[in-house]
Amino acid sequence: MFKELNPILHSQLRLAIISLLIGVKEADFTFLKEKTSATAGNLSVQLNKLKEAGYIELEKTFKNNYPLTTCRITPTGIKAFEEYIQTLKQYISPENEPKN
Amino acid sequence: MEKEFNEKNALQLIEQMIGKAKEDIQDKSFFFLFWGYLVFVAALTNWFLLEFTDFTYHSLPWLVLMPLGGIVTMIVSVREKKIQPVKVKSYVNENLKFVIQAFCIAMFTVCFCMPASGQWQAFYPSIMIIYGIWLYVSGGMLQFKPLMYGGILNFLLAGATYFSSTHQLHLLSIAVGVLGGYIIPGHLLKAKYNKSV
Repeated sequence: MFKELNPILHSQLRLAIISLLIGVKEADFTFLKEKTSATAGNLSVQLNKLKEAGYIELEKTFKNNYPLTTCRITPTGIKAFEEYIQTLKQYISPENEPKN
Repeated sequence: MEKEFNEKNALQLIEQMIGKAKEDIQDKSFFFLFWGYLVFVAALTNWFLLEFTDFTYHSLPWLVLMPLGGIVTMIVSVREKKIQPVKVKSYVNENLKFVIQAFCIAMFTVCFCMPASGQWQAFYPSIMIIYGIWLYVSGGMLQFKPLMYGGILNFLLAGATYFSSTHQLHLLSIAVGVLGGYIIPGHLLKAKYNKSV
């Protein structure tokens, strides 16, 4: 019986965000928008969902009179991502491939 | 974006995004090349003045070029921040900042304290040791071997020049050190960056 994949992470945009943040110290909203090709509105909604789950921290400041949102992954987010990868491995391991 | 998202897509997406975050490497070659050529010219001019002229102020190239380098570095750094605001902070870039800070403090200490205390004999070898540490550590962090080899070259030259008493030989050693440690790796780093964009 396979463990269920974390529904918060098993979403294309949220997983993309976490995968980008896992390798960097912090990234701003523009960087995430550029790399994920998401719309600002959708990205904002998904960032808030990840924040509510405690997976990321959002810091809202101003730079040259423009709002600046900085995002960084939390230890809870790192743990959730690692668990997600472990579960994903079960699904895609060669032993679990359908046999012809 | 949410249609038919299965386990295989998830794995591909993770790989793709991790790759995209890595892609965002910045061109770090400017300061290596700028300082490399500056020190190279200063060392060789100083050597030429000592070897072939009777000019009393043979250290003048350092006194002119080094403060000039500091001013240009400050202007370029401020302009870079304005033109290309930092959108992402990688762990490597953040750690490199601490290495640069340690490098500047060590250079400042050696450049001001050693001549003041009259220890000219150890001045250039100490500078090369600091160059070597900076090049070796930053090369390791950037996973760029030519910088690490440049660091080793500077360690070897520093070791050799500790036993040499001629000022001219020290100057030639530092010129070779920056050529192998800054200028050549700087050009290779630039070529690597140009290839990646």
